[in-house]
Amino acid sequence: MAVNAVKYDSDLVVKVQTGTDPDTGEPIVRLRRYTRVKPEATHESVYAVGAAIAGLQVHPLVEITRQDDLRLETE
Amino acid sequence: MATTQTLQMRFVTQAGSRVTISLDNPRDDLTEAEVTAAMDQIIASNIFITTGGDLVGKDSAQIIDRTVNVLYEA
Repeated sequence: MAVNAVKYDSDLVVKVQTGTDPDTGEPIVRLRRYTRVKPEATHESVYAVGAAIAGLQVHPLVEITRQDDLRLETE
Repeated sequence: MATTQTLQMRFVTQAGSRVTISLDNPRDDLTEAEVTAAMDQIIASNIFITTGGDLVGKDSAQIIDRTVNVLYEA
C-alpha cells in the first residue's frame, strides 16, 4: 500500500531566551508560535518573517523553527 | 506591580478586513521605521493564511501596556 504525505498546515516558531535559570544556569527558552502559515510557503520566506519578528523584541533569538503537519493518504 | 508590553501590528487583508499579529516584550527603542519595515517584510513574504485572504497592506501598529496589581495572594 503506497502512502503519500501531504502538507496541510504549518507553524512558525520563534525561540527566544528570556533568562537563565538561577539554580542550574541553564538558559530559559520561550516559544513564540505563529500559526496558520501556508504549507506551500518557502523556507526562505518563513525564515524572513521569523527574523523580522525576532528583531522587534528584547530577548536574544535562539532559533527559528518551522513545524509542518503532514496528512497521510493512501493511493 | 508587574507591567508587560505587547506590540500589535495590524494588517489589511485582500477582503478589507483587519488582522493583528502580536509580539510580546517589544524593544523599548523601537522606531516607526523599524516596525513598518518588519510589517512590509511580513506582507512581502506572504506566508500567513487568513480568512480575508493574503495580507496586502499595513493598518497600524501599537504597543499595549498591561499592568497587573496583585491585591491579594494566598
